[in-house]
Amino acid sequence: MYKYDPYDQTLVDQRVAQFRDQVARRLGGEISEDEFKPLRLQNGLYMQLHAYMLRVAIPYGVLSSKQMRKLASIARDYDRGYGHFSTRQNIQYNWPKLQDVPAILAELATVEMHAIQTSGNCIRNTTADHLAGVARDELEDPRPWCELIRQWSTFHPEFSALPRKFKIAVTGAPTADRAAVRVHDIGIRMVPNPSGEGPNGFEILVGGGLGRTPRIADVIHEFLPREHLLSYLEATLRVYNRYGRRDNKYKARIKILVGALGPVEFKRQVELEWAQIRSGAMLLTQAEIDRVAAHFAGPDYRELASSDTAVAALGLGQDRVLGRWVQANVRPHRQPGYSIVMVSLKARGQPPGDATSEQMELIADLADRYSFGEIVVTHEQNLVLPHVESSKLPELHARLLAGDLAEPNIGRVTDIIACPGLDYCALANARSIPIATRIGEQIDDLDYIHDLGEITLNISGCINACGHHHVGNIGILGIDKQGEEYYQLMLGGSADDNPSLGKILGPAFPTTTIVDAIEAVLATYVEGRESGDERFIDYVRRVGLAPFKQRVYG
Amino acid sequence: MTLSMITGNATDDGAPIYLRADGSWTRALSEGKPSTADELAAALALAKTQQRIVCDPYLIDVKLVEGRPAPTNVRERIRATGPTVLLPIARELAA
Repeated sequence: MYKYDPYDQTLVDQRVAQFRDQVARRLGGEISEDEFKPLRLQNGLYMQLHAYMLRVAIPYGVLSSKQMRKLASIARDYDRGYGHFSTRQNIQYNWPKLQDVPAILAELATVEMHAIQTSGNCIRNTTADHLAGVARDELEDPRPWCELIRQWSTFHPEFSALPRKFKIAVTGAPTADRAAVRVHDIGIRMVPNPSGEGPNGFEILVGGGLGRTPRIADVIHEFLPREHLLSYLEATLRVYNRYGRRDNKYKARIKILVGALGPVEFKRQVELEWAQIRSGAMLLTQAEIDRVAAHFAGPDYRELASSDTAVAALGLGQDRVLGRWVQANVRPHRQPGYSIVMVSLKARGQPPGDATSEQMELIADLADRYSFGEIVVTHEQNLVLPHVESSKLPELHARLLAGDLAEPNIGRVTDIIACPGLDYCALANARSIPIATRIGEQIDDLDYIHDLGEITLNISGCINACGHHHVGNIGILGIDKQGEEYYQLMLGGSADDNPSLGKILGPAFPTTTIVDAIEAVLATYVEGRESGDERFIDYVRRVGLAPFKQRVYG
Repeated sequence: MTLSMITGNATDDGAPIYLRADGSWTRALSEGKPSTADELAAALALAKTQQRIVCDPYLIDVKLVEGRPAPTNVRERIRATGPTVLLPIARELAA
């Protein structure tokens, strides 16, 4: 993984010192909240319902065991013993005291971490495929490109006051979008060179997003040679910065601009701008690409025989607890003899994405023991141990089980994405976490959950859609009706290679009946599917909403 | 008559705080001063100048329940009482 150079470290250390001074002046009464707010937001510090919330960046989701231990100790020493892994592959602390935040940032800086640009109208943490570097279906590792984007976008003076926040996602797997690139401001897909030879390049998608105006991104450049990545991003951001609306924050995201201009005109504007800068200072040299890529060379794997057959046998073996976990939580690795292990943070009754200090430390220990000290955070709010020798899977499973981290539900209906909702968030209209935990408690038959197969269920507590409800196969949106919580149900969303936005099923449900409605939706699918091979999303696309409406509303 | 109360978040730790009748701040909603929005206008203006103590003060609607103020909407109810999900420490104790 990437290691800071002295320039990176100095930048972060200086920011800690700067913020320490700003906090001291705030607590000393020298500056007001109005003056302080933009300063704290530049350091990821929000004010939520019950306390401050500190959002810490995890660049493209990649963590070392040392960093994870630091996150655990911060949770224990400065917070309430847990952290929340978010849909942006970041971690959030829900209870920091203002006077402690400089110390927390200083602790983070010792492990090459920070909270810079995790808030505000700037380029946020770039996210990536959580299987980057290990997936079999990957064309090329996207992480070096994410790191180049991180370095380009950090403290970029021209883009520190954009019309609105800006999110970029990158995938190196052209046939399996695990990074939801089509619902980001800019999505980047690595694609093969159309000439059939030469280096891979990028397909550039612009104008995707969720929130109150969900939109699937448009392709504006089908094959961008790799050396031009940063200049093309710069040109795109410049067009957005110049023409994006600043009069209405709800119309300020780039998706609104792309929609208003149309993708053809937007592309024309970008290419005009790009023509002026493409051969300038941002042209990436091979030496620079190689310098960054060297950080992601991969661990020192042992030479092992293929383990595919052995892993498949584990999945079907007599130990059903282990078998279910292998089937749901283990993915094939590109290195023979190794597997990718998905660690579910969706145990029954637990808030999705939350991990205690003890769990974080256990994961760090297991990463050291089984996965070359590497951990990845997924945008689905789970963790990954990316390099596990397949022969060690039973041993690892036993240790995860002891830490309540072996829920066999990755990609299943109880692997719920949920925002913090009205239990924490100042913007929320309704709670998300209790709905998620109730679904997990009500739908707890593991055989049934596995029989349901792949289903994504996403919950947002408000229209801002941090829980990605628009792209859940089943989406739940919390709304406010005269001061009380109600939930809109939508079906048919997907963020994968065949993206779609969910459609509202009908009138919203009160808290008391929303989980029953979900059960009715699932029962409709089970009774109507052609076979066990027809996935929920395929069934919804085949039959539409009618049978669900009939079952749910009668 | 609609009753209101002045609330904001404490500067030190972000906790919800409520304005008492004597002008001091309390973390217990039940100790806050309910009144009409008109009657609270001057106190709200003053609260907005107390930025060392309180961040972004605003009015919430309350009603009297057994003589004590209670929020009329779910947001302020949760804000006053804390998350409705058990924090890990509480889950450990419950287990």
